Amino acid sequence: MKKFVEQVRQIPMTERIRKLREETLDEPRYLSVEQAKLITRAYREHSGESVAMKRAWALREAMEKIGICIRDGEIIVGNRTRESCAGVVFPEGGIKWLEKEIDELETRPQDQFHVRPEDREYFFQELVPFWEGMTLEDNVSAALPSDIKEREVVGKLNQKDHAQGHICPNVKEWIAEGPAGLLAKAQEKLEAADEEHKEFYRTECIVLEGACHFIRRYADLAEELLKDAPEEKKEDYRNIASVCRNLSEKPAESFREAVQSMWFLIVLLQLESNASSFSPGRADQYLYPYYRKDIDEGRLTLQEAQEILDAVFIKFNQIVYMRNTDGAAFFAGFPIGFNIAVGGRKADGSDAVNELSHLFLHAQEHVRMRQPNLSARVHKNSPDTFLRHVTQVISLGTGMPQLFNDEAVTPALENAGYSHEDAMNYAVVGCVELSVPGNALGFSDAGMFNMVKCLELTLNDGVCMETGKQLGLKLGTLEDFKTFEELEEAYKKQMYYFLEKMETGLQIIEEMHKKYMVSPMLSSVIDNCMERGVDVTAGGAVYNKSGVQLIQVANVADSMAALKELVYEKKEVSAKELLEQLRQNYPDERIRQIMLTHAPKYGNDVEWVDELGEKWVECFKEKLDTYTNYRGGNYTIGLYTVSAHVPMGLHVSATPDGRRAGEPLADGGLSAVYGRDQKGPTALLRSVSRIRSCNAANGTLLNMKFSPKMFEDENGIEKFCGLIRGFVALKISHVQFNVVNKQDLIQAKETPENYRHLLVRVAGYTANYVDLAEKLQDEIIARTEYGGNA
Amino acid sequence: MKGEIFDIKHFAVHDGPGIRTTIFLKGCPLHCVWCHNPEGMKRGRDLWVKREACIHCGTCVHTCPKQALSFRDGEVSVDRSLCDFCNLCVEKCPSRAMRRIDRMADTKELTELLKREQLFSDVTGGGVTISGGEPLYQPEFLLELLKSMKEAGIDTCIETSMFAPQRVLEEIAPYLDRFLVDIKILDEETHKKYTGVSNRQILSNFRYLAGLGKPILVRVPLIPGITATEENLRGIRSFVDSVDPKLQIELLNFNSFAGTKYRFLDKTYFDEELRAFPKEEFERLCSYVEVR
Repeated sequence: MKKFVEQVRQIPMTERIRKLREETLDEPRYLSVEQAKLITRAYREHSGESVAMKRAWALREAMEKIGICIRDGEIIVGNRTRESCAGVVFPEGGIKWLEKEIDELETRPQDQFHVRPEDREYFFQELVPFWEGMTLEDNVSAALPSDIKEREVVGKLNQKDHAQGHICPNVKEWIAEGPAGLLAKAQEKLEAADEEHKEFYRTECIVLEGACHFIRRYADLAEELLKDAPEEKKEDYRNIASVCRNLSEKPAESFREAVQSMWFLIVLLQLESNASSFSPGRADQYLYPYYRKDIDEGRLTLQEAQEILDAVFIKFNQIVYMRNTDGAAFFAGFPIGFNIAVGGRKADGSDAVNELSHLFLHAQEHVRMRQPNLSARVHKNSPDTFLRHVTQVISLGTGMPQLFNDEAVTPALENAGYSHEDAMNYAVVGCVELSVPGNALGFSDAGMFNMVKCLELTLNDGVCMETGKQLGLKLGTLEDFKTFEELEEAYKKQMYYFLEKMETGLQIIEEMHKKYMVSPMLSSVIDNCMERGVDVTAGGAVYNKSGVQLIQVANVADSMAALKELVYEKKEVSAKELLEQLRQNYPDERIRQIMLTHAPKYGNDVEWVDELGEKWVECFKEKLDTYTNYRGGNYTIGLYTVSAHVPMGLHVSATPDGRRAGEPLADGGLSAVYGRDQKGPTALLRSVSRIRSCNAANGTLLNMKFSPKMFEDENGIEKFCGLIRGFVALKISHVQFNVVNKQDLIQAKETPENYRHLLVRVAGYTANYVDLAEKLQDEIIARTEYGGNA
Repeated sequence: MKGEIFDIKHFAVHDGPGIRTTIFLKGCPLHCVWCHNPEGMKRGRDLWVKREACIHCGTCVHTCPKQALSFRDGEVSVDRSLCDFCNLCVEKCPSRAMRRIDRMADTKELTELLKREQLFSDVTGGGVTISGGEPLYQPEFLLELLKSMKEAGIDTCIETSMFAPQRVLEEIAPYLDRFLVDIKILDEETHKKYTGVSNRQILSNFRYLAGLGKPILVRVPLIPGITATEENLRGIRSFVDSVDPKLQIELLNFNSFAGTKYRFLDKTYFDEELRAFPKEEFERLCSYVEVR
């Protein structure tokens, strides 16, 4: 394999790929109401029918009529709009925010879109009045009681205005059957179905026929373009026509067809739901048989295979998800979460790395864009050649691949109720969410529980320090807790109180998804839905989980440690004094500095501090495990925030760890608070390993920042591989790396025009640094850098 | 057994093979004018004032029973002749700007610390590197420390100027897996001028160590105008050749960060203007010491 890897790494990026890449980077972005028009028309035409039928017809309409194009030089084709990177208006989810913000889209600080005047007019004249009260957003808003809404500052509910996404479809079966094969199944099922399930199969037939039609339109278009094409382009169009024609009628046969088929599936799912994080999963595994066969039979060269993967990598950057201004500020740079996980293990436990795993890594070396979100699965027997190649790609500074540890993830999934076989076959969804391909709806971004805000309320008798509102239970203030144990007891009660409220909200939201976000296209590629005739939003999948993120371990550990040591044990600061300081945002800098520097902090290999973090994850899980979600499954915990540590910190008052009011919480999920890990990367990893990954089946996130100096010579690369081996042995689920000079980050803030393409890892996703909000930029600069000057 | 240290650095990637932890022993018999670790120069107690962490609250000034502290031009100023290291300012300083740099560490404690690192060091061929100051300056402690590390199965390396009686080296050598040795200046008079001591013992010790047959890497710190001359570097190469022509010599580029540490100790660096050699220059200097 070593020789093979050397050979692959020498394959240059072709001129075709370079051009396609440049075009995509420079693509202007427009708001698009095209699909909204088609959806609205379908809803009008089918007004007497059920939501399920309306949704199916609306998708069918788009499949048949949405504008399509084939770009010059493309070898993998397809998009959900004619132009790429469009901001798609999707009324079934929600448009309220857009009513307020449509005029700011062009000028807002992040993720701008141009708006054509005629589209703006259509939006206000037709769309807004028609959809009033019908969107998911409107229905959720009406259904949620106000006492739950008020408490979202602790138990934040997500997925209120768009479909859930966040799922890994059964791409393997999709490629093997094709839409035509699945359609035949659905038709057969429809014949035999009882009344209750007939509608489900009808919707399946509507959308799968539509899928065949959609793909066929690309074949037709290619043939059309072929007519007037110059001689040197004819071959391109002929190939596209033949690939798409085949895929519209039968399963994929060649490697290129398999890759194209995978991409069409992603486009179709996006067309149905306009959501983030439809993840292709273990593409190096399910594409491998096609690759092997073509290579062995001489129909495909290594260079051609590489170019096909490079081409599809570019495609992943042509679909973006338009967020509201607040969302864009903190999830800037379009993290849409097309996650591909390479490497890992096979079902029998043996290593799964194959030639394609390396071609995927090399595609990242070539393309170096934000998407796909490339992940590498590693385990204790991962080959050195794989780790080395992974390290070489990491050293390029695109933040990818991020690493997932089989030794931690598989047990965590088994712990959450997945079978051993499925847990071995895990893939990653979106940013860092763990899932099993093809048979699970993890609903992984259901909500976020702000443990730090909960601590603020515990210290202040349940009263919000920012607004003065009574949100929590009246259990006394810090001054009333005579011992640290009394404080902990109160914290637990408040935590459970807010969790109870939040869980009720989660039930309501999932019920609304079942009613308004019926997803037949997605259900056709999730195991058991088709068999049982139940939509994926209604619990049709084999596994039905809901993910709640617990935020943020580091701040809780640091705050609890400071309270324990400085207030209760050494009495350096009195309870009364500290409470006043917290309420008034540390007017006395001396007290803040004592809280910050006189007690040890999480991330420095100090057991008792780390365990104060772990303790509250366990405590939360104990209660969470007693609930059953709306679809009859269990809840899972995620220890990640993506980039929500910034907004989640905005409304948290000053905390006992010396953090000022409104400052970001710790980044990532399991990272130490930026800059507080002072004992080097090995100590940090040992601290992180004390937060037991088996409790976090929804995924964890650890950011580490390294200086590019670390990778300057062979020596450094080998040492870095050793660090990865240690990470594996410590059974930590996830880690990702920024490899960037602090000086570059500072310069890029000053002269953004010179750093347009500087990529950074934010938190589970990669973005252009200059597109980020300033708070987030500063937080990334403040993270501890390793491996620089001795 | 306890010894005096001033720092421990984990994930040291420039102090020998693999992922290592470097332990810095306090005190050194040499006084190199360019020393990068001024806090390691002398044995005994040292007070650091990390002024960029200071919040100018005056706590330390009010706390000091000897009136050794005051504010001068808006910065804390220490009258080091009055300070008796009572530690009150260190304990009371809210922002940890006042620090004690010296600390007594136990061989057992240090070995336990290294055992934790084995997960990383073992897979990369790393281990512990004892540096300084000059580790040979605390020979009994060094010996006990190395024995304890070897018992725990940890790869041991020393970073040394080799300035000590040969019998010290004879005692510790069995417990060392590898050596990083400094030869700074070949000419005896120049060596005396810039380091305060003759290099005779150093050169003779080098012959002894090279004869042991254990991995040994010669390192030369590049100090512009002092060690970084063609004559000196070529001279060191031919001296090493006279002992063993296969031995590698590694040059350490000048590190301009040391100045800050001098300020923490209210000392001045001998030349604040010096900068690291740019890449081409550095490579040219390296060519003088390549194995031929």
